[in-house]
Amino acid sequence: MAILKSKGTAILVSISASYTAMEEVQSISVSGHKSLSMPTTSLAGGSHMTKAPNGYVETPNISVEKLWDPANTVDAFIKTTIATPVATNVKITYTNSGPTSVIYSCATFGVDESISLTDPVKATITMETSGAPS
Amino acid sequence: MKAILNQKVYVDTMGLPKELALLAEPEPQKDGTNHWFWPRGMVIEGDAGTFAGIKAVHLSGTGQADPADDETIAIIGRTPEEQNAQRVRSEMAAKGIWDKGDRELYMAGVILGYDADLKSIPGPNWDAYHAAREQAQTQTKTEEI
Repeated sequence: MAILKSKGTAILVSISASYTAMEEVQSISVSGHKSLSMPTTSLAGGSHMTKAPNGYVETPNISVEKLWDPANTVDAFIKTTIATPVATNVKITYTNSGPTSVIYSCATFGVDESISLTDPVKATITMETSGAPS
Repeated sequence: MKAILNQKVYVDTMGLPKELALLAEPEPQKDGTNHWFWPRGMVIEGDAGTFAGIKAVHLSGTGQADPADDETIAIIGRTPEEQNAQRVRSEMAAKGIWDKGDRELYMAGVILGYDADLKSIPGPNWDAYHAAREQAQTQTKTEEI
């Protein structure tokens, strides 16, 4: 199994059908991707509760921490997309021999900005994905 | 409006007009699917208000393309130095160069990015940088003696 280092990983946003990489990214998180279950416990069964896959999958949420610049093309696009939501593809490229890329369709975007005395202006961008990644 | 791509640009072919979608090349993925991209050096040209024209301006703005006519240059409104700086920032973002030291080395032309093993790919100034570094270290040792 290849051990992937974080450096070299890029996250790109599709703007009018072409992908542009986010600049000044500090961290990327893709979380919550999981198979969903249904309870199958019955009175006739043992004491341990039982479950089975219900055939559905919870899609992941993507969270990006980055330095924030409202004049940057991608940052400005994200703000626009919050105001006028449209499903938008986001591509994450991992550096390994390949490289391997995954495309997520994002249904919603969110931005939390942080402006403090001693730090640069930062933002946490959250994206709810929809459907199977490709 | 006219621009020339200065790097590989990935695209969603479903969202493109047919004539631009046909210019995309496939990049096979490990799962057997293809991701599509426009190659470096490709020219995007179109009248104002057309998809290609808007795209030429958009990609010049992000730094992924170099404006190639007076109209596009005027719309972007950057000096050549500013446009070059944006191009470099765009390249670093696309190559996942986040470390501050590596970013400085990239901007100085010492490295071109990372290979599949995440080792630095030497840039045009690689030899000069390492020679200068070695000389500085030798000088420091001499001064200490």
